[in-house]
This record gives sequence, C-alpha cells and structure tokens, in this order.
Amino acid sequence: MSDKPTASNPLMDAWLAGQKAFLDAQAPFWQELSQGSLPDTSDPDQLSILFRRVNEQCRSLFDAMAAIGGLEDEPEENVARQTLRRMLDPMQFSYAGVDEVNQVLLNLVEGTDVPDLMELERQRLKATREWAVLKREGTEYRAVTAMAWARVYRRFLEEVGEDLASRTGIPYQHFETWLRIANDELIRMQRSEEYLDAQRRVLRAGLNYRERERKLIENWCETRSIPTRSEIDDLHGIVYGLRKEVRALKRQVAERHGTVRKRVNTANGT
Amino acid sequence: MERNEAPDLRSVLENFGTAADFLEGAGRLAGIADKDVEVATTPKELVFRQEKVSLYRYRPIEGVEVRTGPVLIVYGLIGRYTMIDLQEDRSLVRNLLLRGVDLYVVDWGHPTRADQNLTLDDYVNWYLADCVDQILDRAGREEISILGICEGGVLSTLYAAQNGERVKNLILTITPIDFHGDLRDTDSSHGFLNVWTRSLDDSDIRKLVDTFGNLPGEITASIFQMMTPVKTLTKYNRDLLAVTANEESLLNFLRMEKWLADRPDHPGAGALQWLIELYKENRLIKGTFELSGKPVCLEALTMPILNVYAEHDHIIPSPCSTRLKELAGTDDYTELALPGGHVGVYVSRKCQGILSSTLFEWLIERQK
Repeated sequence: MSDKPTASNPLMDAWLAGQKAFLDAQAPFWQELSQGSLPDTSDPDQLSILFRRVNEQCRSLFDAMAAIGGLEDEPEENVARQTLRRMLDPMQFSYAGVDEVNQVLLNLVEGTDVPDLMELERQRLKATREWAVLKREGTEYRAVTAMAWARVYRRFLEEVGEDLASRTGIPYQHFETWLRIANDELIRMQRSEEYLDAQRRVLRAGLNYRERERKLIENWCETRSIPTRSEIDDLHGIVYGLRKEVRALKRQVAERHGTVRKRVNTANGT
Repeated sequence: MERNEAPDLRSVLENFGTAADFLEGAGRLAGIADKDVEVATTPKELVFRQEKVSLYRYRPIEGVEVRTGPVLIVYGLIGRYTMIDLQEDRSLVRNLLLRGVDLYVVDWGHPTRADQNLTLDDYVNWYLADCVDQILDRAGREEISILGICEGGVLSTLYAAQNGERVKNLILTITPIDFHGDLRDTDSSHGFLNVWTRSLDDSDIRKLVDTFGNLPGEITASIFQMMTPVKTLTKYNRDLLAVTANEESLLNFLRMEKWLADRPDHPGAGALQWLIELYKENRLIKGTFELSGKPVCLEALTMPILNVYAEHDHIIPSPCSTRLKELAGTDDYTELALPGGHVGVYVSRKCQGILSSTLFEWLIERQK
C-alpha cells in the first residue's frame, strides 16, 4: 500500500478527510467503550451525559460531511443540508417513528399562521386552557417515549458490556445492535397501556384545542359575514343527500325503461 | 485487540464507507426529476367516471389472447391502487395481462371534505355496484370476478355478500375479516393498528373525524410509520444509501415512496364505520355489520373464494384474514399464504410470481 493510495481521486481524499474527522470526534466515546468505562446504567444523569456526547459526535459528523459535500456555506434551508442534518441528528430518532401522530396532530392543530390578520387572535387562543393542556399532554407523551429510549440505552450498554468481544467490534456492528434493541423496545412501548393512554390524551387535547379554535374563528367570521366551516359542512351534507335522491330517482326511471340492470339489493336509494 | 486499543481504522472505514456512496448517490438523486419516477404505467382506458371515482380497463397485451372473464381490482380507500402496478418488472397487472386476464380497476380518486358524508354503503352499493354494472354491460356477461385488496377486500366482500348473483369468483388479498384476529397472532410486532384503534374511545374517533371532516391521510400514514419504528428511522439514511449506488434500485425506492406519499383522506362517515364498527366492534364476523340497512352475512359468500394473505403481515395479521374460512358459506375455498409482509405481496418479485400464477390458474379452473 502506498502512502497515499487515493492520490488520483480527490473525492476519496475528501471523503477520507471527512471520515477521519468523524472518527476523531467519536474517538473518546469508543475508547471509553473499549476500555470498559461504561456509565452506570441505573444513573439517569450518566445516561444523559452519554446521550449528549452522542449528539455532539453526530454534530461533528454533520460538519465533516457538510464540508465534504460543499454544503458548509449553504444556507440552513438548503434541502441537501437539511436532509443531511436530519439523517445525522439523533434527536430525530426521538420524534420519528414513535411520535409521528403527535407531530402530525400538532401540525394540523397549529395550522397556518396568518400574521397580520390573526396574530392577536392566535396569541389569545394559545393562552386558552386547551392549549396549555395540549402542551402538558404532549410533554407527558414525550416523557413516556423518552423512558423507552432510556431503556434502549440501558439494554444497549448492558449487551455491549456483557459481551467483551463485542467491545472490540466495529462501530457498524454496534449500530446494528442499537437498531435491533431500539426496534424491540419501541414496539414493546407502543403496546403498553402507559403509552396508549398518553397518546390518547394527546389526541384528545389536540382535538379539543382545534375545536375551541374553530369556534372562536367562526365567531369572528360570523361577525364579518364570512362563511364558516360549519356552514360549508352543512352544505356538503345537503348536497350529499340531494345527490343520493337524484341518483335514486334516475335509477328508478332507468329500471322502469329497462336501460339498466335491476338490482336485488335496492337499499341505499339505489 | 486489547480492550484499550483504538478500533481498526480500516475496518471502520469499510463499514462506514457509505459516505462516498452518499455523495455519489446524492448526485444521482438530484438528477432524478419527479416525472422520472413513474408508477402505474400499464396502459389503460377510462370506461366510466362518476364524480371522483373512475373505472379503467387495462389494455390487453398485443398478441395475448384474453382467456378469462372480466376481473375487477378493488383497492381500499386507504392508499392508492397504483401499488398493483408500481413498476414494470413487478406489476401484478402486467403479470395478469400477460397470462390473458381481462382486467379492470376502480380508482376511488382523492376524496375531499366535500365527500365527508360518503359511507361504506355508498362505496359498495353505489360506486362499486355501478362499476360492476358497467363492466357486465360492456362485456355482455352476467357475472364478474372481483379481486379485492386490503380495505378493498372488505368492500369486495360486502358487495359479494349482498350481490352474490353478480359475483362469479371472489379473490381477497391481505384482507381483514376478523378485526380482532391480531389477538391470536403470536408475533407481538404485528397488529399495532388493531391495538391503537381499540385503545381509543368511540368519542375520540368521532371527534377526530368531526374535526377534520375526513380521516386525514397524514394520520393514517403516521400510524403505518409507527408500526415499523426503526425501519422508519433508517429509511432515509441507511436504506437510501443502500440503493443509491444503482439507478434502477434508487428508482424502485422512489416509486415506493411516491406510492406511500399518495395517501388520500378517508371519507369521514366511512372512516367511522371502518374504525368503530369494524376495527373496534368487529361486527363483520358477528353478522351485525349493516350495509344499506341490511346485515351483511358472510354465509352468503357462496361463490368460489381465493383468500391470499401474507405470513408476516404486520398491518393485517394473518389470523385476521384466515378467519374467513370458518365463516364463508362456500364449498370452494382456497387459501394462499405468501412469505413476507403486507406490501411484499405486491412488490416482492418472489411473491409476484407465486401470486400471479396461482391466481391465474385458480381463475382458469373456474371459467367454465
């Protein structure tokens, strides 16, 4: 092997440089792991320190990869930059997969801000009890999922700690172990009464807030002669009923004239 | 290696060597436009349209003799029918056309809040019934074979139970019949949808639907993502990296993503029936589910039935499907268990081969 086997490949050079930065950033973590100085898994503070360290390492990896990809000077909203950050952000792990419904609900509940028109109203709405309840339930939900992640960490450390041979293994193998344990624990968590109850409460709180918000907005609309969602929904209901009636009548006429097949099942207005 | 020795750099690089792949793949990804990711490309012609519902007939392949009567594919309201024709080399549609099946498909479209009052009754005894009549008139036949998929399998079952005189054969794939069948599945990673729905009060479900008019596609998509938590977490990093090296694999990945992203809202009134009367109350197997004011009796399913399920289906656990054997009134009942999971039935090359050949042979035997 020559000193610089990739001299003719600048991309590989850049990649190796990035990998080196990545490994340098990780070195303390894996060194601790290989030396057996594992944190006390029963101590939440130590777990927290470990999790923070992993986050820091991932941020280093992001910086290295962004530099390789020429993304370091791109604005934060750059799609590639955002994608890379998402891929390398362990915090995403605590949102995606287990918290999807919560996130979707929050997005649906919060809706689009109308800064000039509705800002005052929105600020007032956000001060309502429903908003506070939603936030509280969301926090409690996160606490349940956070406990699951803590269990993942504990199991991971226990497994790696028990198997001395695995400590000398390569990070990729540890990553696979991490994923397997995470999958087990998250699936187990999803079926726990504690989780289902927390999720149910988030759902209710989100919907209650949405209902309150709608009533307030509809009041505002009514005072300004703007059609409300409820009125449009009423219209949809009326149109639906009329469609069924028209359809039933047309079908009766057509059957009488023998231009359509008769149906044995003639319920549903058909 | 000693415990305090640093990890071997080369072995680390070999396993984290995907960084270069990522960069190369990112370039490949950036070069693919949305129009390059085509799904459901098998040629078809519009036969009938009513509001948002469209009925298509797949164009027979030139030189292939049509050997069966009409077969109507019915997908569910959750997701799109494009799954059956995701890519040319793994298309159930194409595989069946190549064997000479006369194939139709109903596309439910994208319901909006204007469709919030549509019930399962409307989909079965209004839209589906009209599609069937259109096909029978066009083909000059009195009976049709129906191939239902997932929720579309339930719609097909409901139609067949109340309109048996029009259904020659009933083919169900990954279809729930016993909505509490998950309780008999020994794999604890299966059936989260059943567990989640049962954990909600009826009032929660009603409020959810009342609030949004429909059951938002975003909600159903997120529940599906939750079912495979780590897979969801690694999809856009590890899994994506694994396919970017090969353009065709990348395109396949993106086709699947395109299908997943195309998740319509489920009409509200129908969603209430689906979640409360079927998922929670399990009325179908009890004989208490009513359609158009009449209870649906599974014993009325006296036509030949082919019931296809996936052995490792985490969305519709297999006991949910296989319960039909005990309840259907037919003497001609066949089951086909496919390896793999829910979507694998339609995208796995192995399953595709088994499914299309079994389905065709089963149909041919019942053409007389």
